[in-house]
Formats: sequence, structure tokens, C-alpha cells
Amino acid sequence: MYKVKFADIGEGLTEGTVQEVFVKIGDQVKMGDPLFHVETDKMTSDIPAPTDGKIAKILIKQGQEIKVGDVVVEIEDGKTSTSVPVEENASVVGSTPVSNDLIARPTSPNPTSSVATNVIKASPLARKVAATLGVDLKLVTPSGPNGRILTIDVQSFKTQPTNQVGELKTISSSPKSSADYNNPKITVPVINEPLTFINKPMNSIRKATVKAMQKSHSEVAGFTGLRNVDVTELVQLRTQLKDFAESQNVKLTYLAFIIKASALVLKEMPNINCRIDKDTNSIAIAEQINIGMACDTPEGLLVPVIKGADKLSVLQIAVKINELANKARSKKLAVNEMVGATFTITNFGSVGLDYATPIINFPEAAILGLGTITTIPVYINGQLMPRDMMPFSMTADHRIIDGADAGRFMQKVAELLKKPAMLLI
Amino acid sequence: MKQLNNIKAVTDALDVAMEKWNEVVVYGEDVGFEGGVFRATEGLQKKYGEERCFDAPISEAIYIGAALGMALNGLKPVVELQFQGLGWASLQNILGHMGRMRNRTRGKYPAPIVIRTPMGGGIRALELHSEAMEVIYAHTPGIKVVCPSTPYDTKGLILAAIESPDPVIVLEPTKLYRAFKQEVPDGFYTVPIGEGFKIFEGNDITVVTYGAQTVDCQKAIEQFEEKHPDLSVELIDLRTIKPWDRQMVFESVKKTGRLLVVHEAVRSFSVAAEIMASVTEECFEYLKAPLARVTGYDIVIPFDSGEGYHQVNPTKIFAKLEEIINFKF
Repeated sequence: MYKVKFADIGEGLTEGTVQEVFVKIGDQVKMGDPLFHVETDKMTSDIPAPTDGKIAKILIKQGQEIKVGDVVVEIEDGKTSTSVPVEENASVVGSTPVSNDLIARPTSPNPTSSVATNVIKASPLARKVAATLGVDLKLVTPSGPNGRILTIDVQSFKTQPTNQVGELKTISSSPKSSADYNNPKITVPVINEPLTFINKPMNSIRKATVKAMQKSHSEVAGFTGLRNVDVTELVQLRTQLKDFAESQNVKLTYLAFIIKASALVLKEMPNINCRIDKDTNSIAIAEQINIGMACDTPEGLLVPVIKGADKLSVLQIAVKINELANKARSKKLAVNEMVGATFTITNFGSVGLDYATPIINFPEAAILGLGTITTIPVYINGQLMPRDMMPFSMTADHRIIDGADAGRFMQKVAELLKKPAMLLI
Repeated sequence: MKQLNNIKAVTDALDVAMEKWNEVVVYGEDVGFEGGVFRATEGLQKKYGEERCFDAPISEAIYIGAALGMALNGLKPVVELQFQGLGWASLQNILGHMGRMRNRTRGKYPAPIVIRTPMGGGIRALELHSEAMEVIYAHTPGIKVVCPSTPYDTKGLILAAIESPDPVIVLEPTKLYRAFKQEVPDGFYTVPIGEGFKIFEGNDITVVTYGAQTVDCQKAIEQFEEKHPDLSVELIDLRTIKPWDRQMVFESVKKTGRLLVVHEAVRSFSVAAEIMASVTEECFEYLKAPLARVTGYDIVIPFDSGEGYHQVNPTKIFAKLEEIINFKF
């Protein structure tokens, strides 16, 4: 019997949540076949079978939290004898599942149960009418045979006048010449409900986000710089290249250009592409330029990484964006696709924000936030022109990045985006 | 008390019946020496001799027809039909004679015959070995159809079937033959034909099923109740397809106002269709959502590679439960 333990599949991973179990007792599996799907901090993964054999025991179920080291599945691999011999599959057709699992004996079969007495009898049509009119069927007096609420009962219930309506009528029919504001004619119900909550458990991604944001907020001295960037030519260039990109099956977004521009400037300004090394009390300058890309998914925020962004063309970056975003949304990101970022870009413009104060993806030193592109009138050389402007919000760790450097960084990125053809050279 | 799986419960039931009634004879293809294709009759020939447990020729039409002759002459034949899909040739005898013998002779000659046959897919067998044809039998007047899902019910229902003066088809879910064990009483006992069994008590949705899908339903309901701790699902294992336990189902639906029927047989003109029609007739004014079903598709059972898509599974059932509970007028 091979006891499959949940191993550390990430970096220092300790626990995860079972999303789906793919096997059932009696299943034959081959080494590498997926056994179950697990969600851990910031990533999800299929866990493969470590050996060939037959599934003998499943010790996990959907939604269960498991810790590294837990035995999750037992596979009969024929190498170690089990304490209880399992009967062989003796049939000659197909492969019937075989197991020694003992199910409970039925307690005395109980064929009859009393019919509930408080149930409401109403035809589906009457129920529909009640739902449409907002009538609580419990309050309606039935007039139909056998205590059935008829549609007409619901309709006539709705048209019965209430006391409140009567009071309102009194107000309008007898107006006073001068209002006595201390004695309003409108009664206000006393609402004094104690404060209650409905607790919703956090999923692993949310838990990881809480941890990461807290750390960033407590350790980093973040300041945010804001500026608008003229992306009129970028909009035109993208329009020109979009069809070509489509012909290559590439979805070309503004983000691809901005990642490229940021990567080029980071190469020029390594003092932004850095982090604090507490152990040696030094500033560690990253030799690679890996851009994290914050992705909004139904489960929460995930940050896949485009590695070596300075070495990729705009189109290649576009391909990576699409691939990683799809994987993020379908929870297929692998661990190594989510680690190693040196700088992060977050696009909150896609959800309608212009400016924000993005929080640094610790331990990086800076993050760039992108707002919505808006066409606004701008004076250029004394002339008013419509220009496409994109708001930039950049948060930097003030311990190691001075305001001037952050300003220069944004300035350089803005220059490249003003003349985006530079990015294609 | 022994711990038996379903196949051993079949063997035990036959053993008890052969011990109790000398007129019980057990036969079918490879049933004697080999103990049957699934080994359900293993050891019976050795114990009771070749006269009472023997191999039939590969001719379902003949040996099922012979069962009728035996029954009319005082025996209690228990015949194994190797697979439902291999039994088409026997339908002439089952539907045309066996089912109507009591009526034809104005009650003079009942036909105490039991036909046991594996049922359903999910074991990577071929299409004719995986069929669930319960409605063909259930549609025929004069025939009772049972389909146990646990070892306790298997033994009890087979013994009740052998005791019955009328023909009973016992459908044995192939997938469950060796899937688990249960404590089964020694000796003779019966599970009454026509009585369902409530596996879970619940207030919000009634799920009616039988055979292999009882296991799928239990899994789906556990998952559903974990997600909705304030809701509970009533699960009824029909155990007998005909006559089915109308009272139990109606009472349950009157309580919950919602119904889901689950089986692997094809959807159209199915057990689900019958139950839903009856519930509409009897419980119309209690219904809070449209009646629903999860069934097989209206197709021939696919080969091995397509079987996973075809089979009813907990995921499909869970999705339907969600759909039912989320229905709003």
C-alpha cells in the first residue's frame, strides 16, 4: 500500500484546500495521473499519483483543508500487503470497482412518514403571482378546495387596504395651515436591531492577500506619485497594429506597450528595479527585469510574472499577457509563473479607476498603477487639441527610492509612450 | 452476521432459497461450473448438484421460455440473464407470455419466475453489457422489477422475488457488485417488494433514485449540504421500480415541494418521466420548483472512451440540485 502524502509543492508551503477529487475508490491510476486539485496560497495545482496502482482509500474531500505531510490517498500498488485482503475483481467483463469498505446497515426501513401539516398548498401559478406581487403566501387565506390558495386569493390579498395607507390619506385630506414639526403625522417604525454579521470564510488567495498586504503596509514607507501621460500616438499605433496582431492570433493591448516601456526604463534605472536586503543591510539590485502583472480573478488578485520583459518584443509580451491572464482566470497558474517579479504593474483602469494608491508587491520596491484612457482637451504649443491621456499612479518605497527618482522613472516611461514607435525598434 | 458485498449477497440469497425450497432451480449461461460471468452463483452447483444449478445453452429465448414451462409445472426457476443487452431474444417470452400468464389463465397459473440480470454501465464494458433497460420490463403488465443498491437489500429483495408468485426481474447494478460491503443477516429474510427506503431525511428537496446512482446521489447531497448547511435533502432509494413506492415519494414531495429523479437509463419515456408525471398529478399544489431529472442521454451507451461523459455522476447531480434550489418564481 502506497500512502500518498501531501508534499510541499511551492516554496515553504504549509497548507492547501482540496478543490476537487478526481479519483474514486477502486480507480486504477498510472503514475502522473491527477489525483486531486488543490488550492494553496496564490496558486492551484493538480497533484499527480506518485505510483501506479488502484485507489484504496481517499482521506480527503472537496473543501477540506490539508497540511503538508497529511496522508491524502492510499494506492494499492501491490508492493506492500494490506492488512485486510481486498477481493479480486472476478468478473470477466469490464472492470468493476472492488473495495472492502463497509457501509452501515440500514436502520429499520421506514416507508411512511407523516405528511407535513404546515405546508402551503398553492398552484405554481399562484406561487408565481405571489412572487410577482411580493405576497407572503403564509398570510393568505385559502379559498380553494382542500385548503388550496388560489391565484385570486393572492390577488385579492394584495389589493386589501392597509392601515398605513389610511393614515397617509388623512394627511393629504386635511392639511394644516401651519406645520407643527414637533408632531409629525408620519409614524417612523423603531428600528433597533442588534448588529449582526454573516461570516464568509476566506479562500486561500484572500488569506494570502491579507498576509501580503499587511506585510507591505507595515514594512514599506510607500509614497505615491501621480501624473498623466499622453498616449495619443500609442492609441494610433495600437490601432494600426491590431489587425496584424490578430492575424498572428495575438490580442494586442496597451498593457503590452507599457510593460515594454517600463522594462526598458528599469534597465536604464536599476535603482528602481531593486529591493532591500535586510540581512546584509544593502540595496539588492535585480539583474533580471521580471514584471508582475496584477490580474483580477473571481477568486481574488493573482500576480503572474512576465520574465525577462526587457528581452521580449511587444508582440511577445502580448502573447505572454494573454497566456498568463487566461491561466490566472482558470486557476491553472504554476508556482514558478507567480514568483520572481522585480516590479509590478496593476491596471485598475480596466475597472474604471483613474487614480489609486497601489500597494507594493513586497519585497519589490515599486509598483505602477494604470488608470483609464480618456480623451481630453490639452494645450500643445498654445493650441487646444484632443489628446488621449492615461493617468499613472506609482507607489515607491521611499526608504530606497527618492521622489525625484520615481518622478524621473515616470517621465522616461511617459516619453517612450509619447513616441511608442521607439518600443518597436 | 456476515459482511458481504452485493455479489456475495446474491450468492447467499440463492443459497438460502435453494436450502429452503427444493423447487428452486438456478441456471443461466456459465452459471453452473463457472459460477456465472460475475461469479454470483459460485459454489451452488457443488452444493446442490447439477440438477438444481446448471449451465444453460447460449440461447436466451429458449432458456427464459423454459423457465415459464418449469414455473407452470411447479418449480421456482431463478434464471441469470448474462446481460440485459444480450436478452432481446428472450423478450418474446418475457413480455408476451411470462407477464400475462396469470391474467391469461384467470389467476389459475401464476408464473413464479425470477430473472436476475446485471444492469448499467460505468465498468468499461461494451454497449450491450452496460444497458439499463428497466422501463422495457416495467412497462409490461404483470411483471415486477426490483433494483437493490445494498447487500442487505439485494439478499432481501431476491428472497422476496423468489417467494413472489409472479415474475420478478431483479436488476443488479454491475458497478456496485463489489464496491462495498455491509452486514447481512444470516438465513432467510425478505425486503418487501414495493417499499422504498429513505436514506436521508430532509426538508428542502426530494431526490428519488435507485441502483448505482444511490451512491452518486449520496455524494452529491453531502457536497450540497456542506455548501448549504441550512438546507437538507431527502434521498429515497426506490429499491422497487415497479410497483414503485408512490406513497413515500408523494409524502416526501408534499413536504419538500421539490423533486429530482436520478437514473442512468435514457431520459425519454423513462422511470423519471413516470415519477414526474405522477407527482404532477398528485402533488401539483405543493410544488415550489419545476420537477427535474438527471438521467442518461437518449443514445446507445458509448464505448469505453466516451463512458465518462455519458455516466450520471455526483457533479451532474450537484449542479441540478443547485438549479432546483435557486429556482425563483
